[in-house]
Amino acid sequence: METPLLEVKNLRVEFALSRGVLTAVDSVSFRIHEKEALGIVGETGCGKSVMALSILGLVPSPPGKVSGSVSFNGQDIVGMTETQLCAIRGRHIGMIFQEPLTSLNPSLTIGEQVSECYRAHLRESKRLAWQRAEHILNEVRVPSPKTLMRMYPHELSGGMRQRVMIAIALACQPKLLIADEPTTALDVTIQAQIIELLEELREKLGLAMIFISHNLTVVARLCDRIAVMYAGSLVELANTPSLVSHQLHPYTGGLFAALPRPALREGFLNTIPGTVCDLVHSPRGCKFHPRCFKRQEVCEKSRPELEHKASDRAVACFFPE
Amino acid sequence: MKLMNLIEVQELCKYFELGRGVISRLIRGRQILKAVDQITFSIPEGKTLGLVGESGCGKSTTSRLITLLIPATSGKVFFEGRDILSARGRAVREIRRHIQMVFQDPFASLNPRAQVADIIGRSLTIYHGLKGRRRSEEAARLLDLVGLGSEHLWRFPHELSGGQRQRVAIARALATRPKLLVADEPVSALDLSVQAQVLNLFKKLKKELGLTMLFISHDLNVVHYIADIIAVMYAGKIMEFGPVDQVFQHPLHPYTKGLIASNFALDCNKMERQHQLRGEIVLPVNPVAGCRLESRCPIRTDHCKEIEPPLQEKRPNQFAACHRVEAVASTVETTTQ
Amino acid sequence: MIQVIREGVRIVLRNRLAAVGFAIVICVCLVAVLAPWLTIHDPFEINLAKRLSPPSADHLLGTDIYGRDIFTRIVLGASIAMRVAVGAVFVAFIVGVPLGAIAGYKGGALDTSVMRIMDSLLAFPGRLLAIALVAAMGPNFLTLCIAIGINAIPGYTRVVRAAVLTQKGREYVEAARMSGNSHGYILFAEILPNCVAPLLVLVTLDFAHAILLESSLSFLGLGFPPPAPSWGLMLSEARGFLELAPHAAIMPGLAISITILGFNLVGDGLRDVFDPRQYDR
Repeated sequence: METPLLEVKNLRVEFALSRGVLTAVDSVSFRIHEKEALGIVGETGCGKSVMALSILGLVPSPPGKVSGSVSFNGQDIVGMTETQLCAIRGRHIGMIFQEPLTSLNPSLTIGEQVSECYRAHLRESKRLAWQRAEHILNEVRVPSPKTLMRMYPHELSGGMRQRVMIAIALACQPKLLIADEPTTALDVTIQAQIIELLEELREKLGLAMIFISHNLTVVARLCDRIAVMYAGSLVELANTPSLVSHQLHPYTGGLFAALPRPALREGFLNTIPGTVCDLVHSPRGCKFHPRCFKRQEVCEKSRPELEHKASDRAVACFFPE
Repeated sequence: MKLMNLIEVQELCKYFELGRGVISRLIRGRQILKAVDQITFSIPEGKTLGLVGESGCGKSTTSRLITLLIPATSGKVFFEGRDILSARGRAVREIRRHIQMVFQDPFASLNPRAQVADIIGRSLTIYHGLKGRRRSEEAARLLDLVGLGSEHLWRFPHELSGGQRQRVAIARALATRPKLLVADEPVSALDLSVQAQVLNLFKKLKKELGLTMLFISHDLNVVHYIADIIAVMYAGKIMEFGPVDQVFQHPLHPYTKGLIASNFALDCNKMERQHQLRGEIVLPVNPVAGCRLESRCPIRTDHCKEIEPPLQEKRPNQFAACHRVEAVASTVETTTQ
Repeated sequence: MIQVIREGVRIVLRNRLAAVGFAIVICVCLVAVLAPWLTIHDPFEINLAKRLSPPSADHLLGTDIYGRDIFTRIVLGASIAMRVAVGAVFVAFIVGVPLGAIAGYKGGALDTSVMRIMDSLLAFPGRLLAIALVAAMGPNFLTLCIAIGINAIPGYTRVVRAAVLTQKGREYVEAARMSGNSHGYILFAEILPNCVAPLLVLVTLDFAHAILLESSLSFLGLGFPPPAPSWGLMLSEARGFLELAPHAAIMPGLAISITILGFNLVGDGLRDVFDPRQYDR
């Protein structure tokens, strides 16, 4: 079996708060092979963004504490020094975030910011960097890159800024792109454009991707595999087609049933009762058991591990469908 | 039998003047944002109108105009046959007995320093003269209606989850026993599982109380689920209006078509690219003559640049503002084949 | 309100410096309130035989040029300083807060005119204005409160106006209108309670300003007339004997500095806490 591009093993991220220890990410393990897109879905506060940050070594410590291992191309990212991380971040792993305006420096032009990637990581001359910046902006389909490169971030619309962010993330031809809710702040028509662009670039550049979103349909559209997160843990991991057609974990099932669909117009939507558990004092046993309609005694006592049920899917539940 | 229209909106406009400073006016001239420009629609009693559109299209402004929270520039709004835009002072309060509103952000729409009993109770005191124990009882009944227990009466908003807060906001809106409920993106700040709970609640209220609703959302799936009639807004104008199923199955306007194409659904695999809209929404600041969608439209002609298409009934009950309805219809046929 | 205070206390205790300031403020307040029970000497009893004597067991902080007990006078001075400060802040609060609130809520021409009046008030040198007022109306408690308070009015107006402007755009205000509330109710019962945080900071810092201003006025002979045990006046009386009996000047000076330091520490601590950029859950 080929070695994965990224292998996350028992990743755990904890934050020391005044009221106790908050476990944001709880023993998460998964691998991504080259050119593969993994979608991570979950609701607010399930730890998906923190997980992305910990893969990039961006969890502030203290108060954060990261344990487990994240090996990228055979190197363990957890425990790397800041200098080592900087050589990987942006160079081998690109990243895009939800709000592009806060990720761009407001006082530098787009051209300066994009060409900076080439100068910092690849030590290229100013002129060459500028040319390459123009090239990559062309790749992300901004209209008239030459004019755009002389503009400042506030002069661009949300969709354009996100395209610039993608250009910066892909500038040094990374092997892996981490996208954290990149389309959430955008309108549906713009979201569709960005998704299409990501799809295209992935194919063209042979990019592996971690796509984090709360939007099931967007993830299902873009990714080969989907991991569902609940309260810091992965509860289900499967190929997209099999997950869409059949969900093993009751939480995943609940999420899919909660999607508003025209077919359900006369009836009511399925809901998951209750709210997400407290991450400081999470319940004993399965974290989902207080909201689960299938819970039995064993669910309250011990926590199910993520186990393979078939070749292409794994689930953390004692009573999968 | 033709249903009575509870509310009729006629050529409603709201213009904002941007950059009112002397210097900005000297440099750029008068800049007028036509946030809502001559929109006309009506909602029959007991029906739900879903208003969809991208951010900046004027849908929130529309909700504020109808609830009299901001004054209109021109146009008329008839509620049960009476023009309500001319109302002032006490009359406005009386109109709000019948028209209530649920806001987008349940974290901002509840006063952080008030208890649930007071949040709901103010309307009960003002509109029904209820005080003390009777007020609490009625508030508890309203909480029960929205699926919360009376133990929530003495809680503060920060002690509630997002879904619970939105339920409180709905209970507050129902306290006056309104006939029309205006809901401005009531589920877009909520997580999927909670969103489903709140949508179910709206559906239940619609059935049990016979509420008429104006339901605003940017999410087509949500509108398709909850609404009977749909109005699609773009840059201050209504682009298409008609029964939900009909519009979703046979959209007449290229913008509606583009929205549907951008909307991912689990069962359809690849997006229909030829309908995708280019570019981004252009705010209607000093708009020129011609169709507002012109710059983004995949089937535009020179004609579209010059003459603004009026909203016309192109199919029974289905209205569209487009010169090229036939062209859209034909692309629909080809994609369904 | 109790909840607000409790919240404030909890927050202040998290910040050590602010906690020190808080302790000082509590001490000064207690001293001011309990003044009559804390002293054994008569603050006005002149004993020329003991004039300018250094600190001793009988006179903890020594005596002044008329042989009066400095400790007793400082303790009573605390109550004078606090009374004037409370009065001055009250005057500024009662005028400035409604003005700013209405200006921010109504907007338009009213807003513009109120704010321009405040600007012209700010353009006046504060101390000069206070001196002129006291000189014109005579040094009594009410005049002092008004003279000192008037300088602080623009601060309250601006802070409240800014806070109201931010709150006004929030959805709960629109919701309150939908519930049929009058504008007065919305402004004073719904919006203002949410503007408490910046006001609390301002009130604390203004206490320090008021105490300082009262001391300077007394120092210049424009505060309470002698023999009142005002800190500024004590400092002024001891000024001529600095080499002979430094303690007579140092003790009231220290009282002023420590009190002001205490209020400023609390104010800064509160500001840090209320600053949303530093806010953590």
